[in-house]
Amino acid sequence: MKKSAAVVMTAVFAMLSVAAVWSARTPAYAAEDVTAEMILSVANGLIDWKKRDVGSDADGYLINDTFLLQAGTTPGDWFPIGLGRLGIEDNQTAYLAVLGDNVQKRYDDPSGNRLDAAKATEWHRIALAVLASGGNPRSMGEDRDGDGRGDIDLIADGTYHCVDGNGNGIVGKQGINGFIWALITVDSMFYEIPEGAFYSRDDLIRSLLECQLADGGWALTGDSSDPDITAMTLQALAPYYNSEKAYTYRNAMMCADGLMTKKVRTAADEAIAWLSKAQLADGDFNSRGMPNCESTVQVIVALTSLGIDIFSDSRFIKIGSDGRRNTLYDGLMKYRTDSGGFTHSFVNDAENPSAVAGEANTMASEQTLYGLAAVLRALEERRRLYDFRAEQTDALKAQIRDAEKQIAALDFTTSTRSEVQAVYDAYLAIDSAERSYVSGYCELSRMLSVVGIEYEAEEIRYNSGDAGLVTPSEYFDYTDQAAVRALPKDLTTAYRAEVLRLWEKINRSVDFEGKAEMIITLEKAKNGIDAIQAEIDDIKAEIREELYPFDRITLAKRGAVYELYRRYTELSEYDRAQFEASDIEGLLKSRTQADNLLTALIVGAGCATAAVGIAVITALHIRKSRRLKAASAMQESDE
Amino acid sequence: MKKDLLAIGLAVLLIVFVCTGTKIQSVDDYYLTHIDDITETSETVFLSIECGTVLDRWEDLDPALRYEKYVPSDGVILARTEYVLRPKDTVYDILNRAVRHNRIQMEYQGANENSFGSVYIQGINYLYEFSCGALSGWMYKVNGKFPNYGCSKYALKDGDVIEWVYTCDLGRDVGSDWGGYCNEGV
Repeated sequence: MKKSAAVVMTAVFAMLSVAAVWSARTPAYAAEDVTAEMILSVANGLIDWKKRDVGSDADGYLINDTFLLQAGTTPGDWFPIGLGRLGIEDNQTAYLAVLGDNVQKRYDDPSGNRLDAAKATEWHRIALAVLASGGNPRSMGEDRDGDGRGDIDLIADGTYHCVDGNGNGIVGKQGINGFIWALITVDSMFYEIPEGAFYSRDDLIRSLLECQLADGGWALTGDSSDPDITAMTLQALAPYYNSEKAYTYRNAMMCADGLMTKKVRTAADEAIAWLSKAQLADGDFNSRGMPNCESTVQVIVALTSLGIDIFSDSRFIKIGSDGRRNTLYDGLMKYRTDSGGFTHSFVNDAENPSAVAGEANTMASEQTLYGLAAVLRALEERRRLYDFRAEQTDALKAQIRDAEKQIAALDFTTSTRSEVQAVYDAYLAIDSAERSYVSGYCELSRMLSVVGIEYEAEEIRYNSGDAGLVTPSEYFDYTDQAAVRALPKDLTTAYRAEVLRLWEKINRSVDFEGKAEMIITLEKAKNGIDAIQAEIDDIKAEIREELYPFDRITLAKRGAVYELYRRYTELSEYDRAQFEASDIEGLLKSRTQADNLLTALIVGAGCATAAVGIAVITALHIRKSRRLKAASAMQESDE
Repeated sequence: MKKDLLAIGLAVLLIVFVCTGTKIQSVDDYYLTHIDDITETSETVFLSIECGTVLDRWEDLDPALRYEKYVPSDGVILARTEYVLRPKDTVYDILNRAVRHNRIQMEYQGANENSFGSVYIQGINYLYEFSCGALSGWMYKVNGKFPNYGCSKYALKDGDVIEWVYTCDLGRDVGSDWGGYCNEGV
């Protein structure tokens, strides 16, 4: 007895000493400790890290010219999504201008693939980034049909009508990610899907249910769940958690023989249970055996989307080795580095030097930024991360809180049918498109079946147009006007972002004196820059077409090589920097080769001429000396 | 007589000079135009590009790509070829040189355009990621092993054998049990 007490005491001491060391490194965060200011301060530290990464000052924009080169790519779009959802103002006007132009150019590409032949998530990511930055994804690019709005509809093209030139659906081509993000995107503004669309909401939901794994979660491939994909699927299903609609589908993983019927809520609860089990002692998550930042972020976004309080829900609080209670927020903060950026993992994978353990990297940081936005939004009772509709009014919030209170007050044993009916009426009084924000509805649902009340079939009022999105008019002020005047005569592609920003702004601006002239100046500048870019792309294509294989460069190509080289040198220094080292090497090599061939030809011709000359002269000389010899011999015989 | 012999000798020399194609080049020019010539002292690596896995998954292949010019009947887009290894060359550099030389289409995402910080090969010979199912894409092996990081980060050494292989099953059909680098980008 004594002995075991001593062992326990030793263990306690050991734990305490570990705790002392550990707590100095990683403070644990409880709900009451985490304030909006704190989250924003972490977010700002992260943004400052990224600003240094793109060469911007701490008081400058994150979205600077360097950053804008990536508009329309993964690292270029997720940061603006995080910024927008945190409510941080940056250079969003320039971002929307450049992104819109990039999207238009990709749509205009002769391949006809528009954004991609197989990756629907290209549309989804860009649409979400446009919404987060205050733009309208249904009205992108140029207005060529003259109806006063951009002709490209990223929502239709990327979700319910995401089909290729042959009429085949694209959404499933990249696997489950396509369905997840299509659903998130179509629900970003609760967009209505028209009758007869290629994909209906139910198609997208059913596709996700069909690939749920036996353990309750989801994965890209294989039969054991992955936290990232499970969490992302939950993010997509979150708006349907309170739906009573049952789906009938085939899922060989869960039910080997035949059909199964399930509500979204049931599937989601299974996944939540799997996530709860998978959470690690520090509050974070493992993916492919490696505790990491991004998986933790995805679970945070999933739970906050479902209205689960990550600071208090016991399913997601784990006891650490130091005895502390770790939440997902603790798990996330573990990956914060001194630089302000977030690191992928602390486990050093010898085979993976691209993400250095403990060093801040882009993917971990871009995901953390929107993860922080999700936490902040939950704290401030704002809409879930990917619900971009106008914020709920105070009256609506109060109505939802009241319904939640009434549900919580119900009692299985004592509540009467009419009491339950009254609570249900309070629930049904809430706008159908807002009911997914009522947490605890599942309890009411259970009570309804206990007392035998039928569910009412839900008719959700979806958003058929651009409702809720107002593009504000801008004022093209003196700074902007001075910026137009300051544009140099000889433009380079370095001015593209600036010109596109001014172009976007002036077209949205109220009238001012000299507006028409400035529009002309900017249009010329925009077209000029497009022409330079087209020239760069053309030279690059010709280099590939004309100069390879290098050992087959003939003298006949010399003119073409020189012409290409001339076109290259006529570009500005900035534009020449857009070429790959191998493009320039190819040009120089071919030019030298062509020159060498010419030199060889001239020298060869010279030598040949000389050889012929020498031969002729020598022959003549030999003939002459023979004749002289013969003459002297005759003279001798004459004598 | 002696002069004649000398002249004949000179003429023969000139003709030999022209016929052997001896070039007059500066040292720099010579270096530039012969940088990729394999000599006895050059360090070299080998590269091949294959898409044989597609042949077994023909029904999953994008119908627009079901032609010999995209998927050769033996699955070989580029047979094993020796290339000069220049100092600091990465797997990407060799692939880039090989596709240029052989005029094979290739599309990549620059290191700053994705979150991996490395060049990512999206398509070779018009075969792209997802062209043959949701788990398809390009992967590479060096000396038979799959490095799980970007091709522009893999520095090569003399004698390395690079194989670019198209997978239809996240690497499992080409002998990788890892397979995560492709297909995850959103």
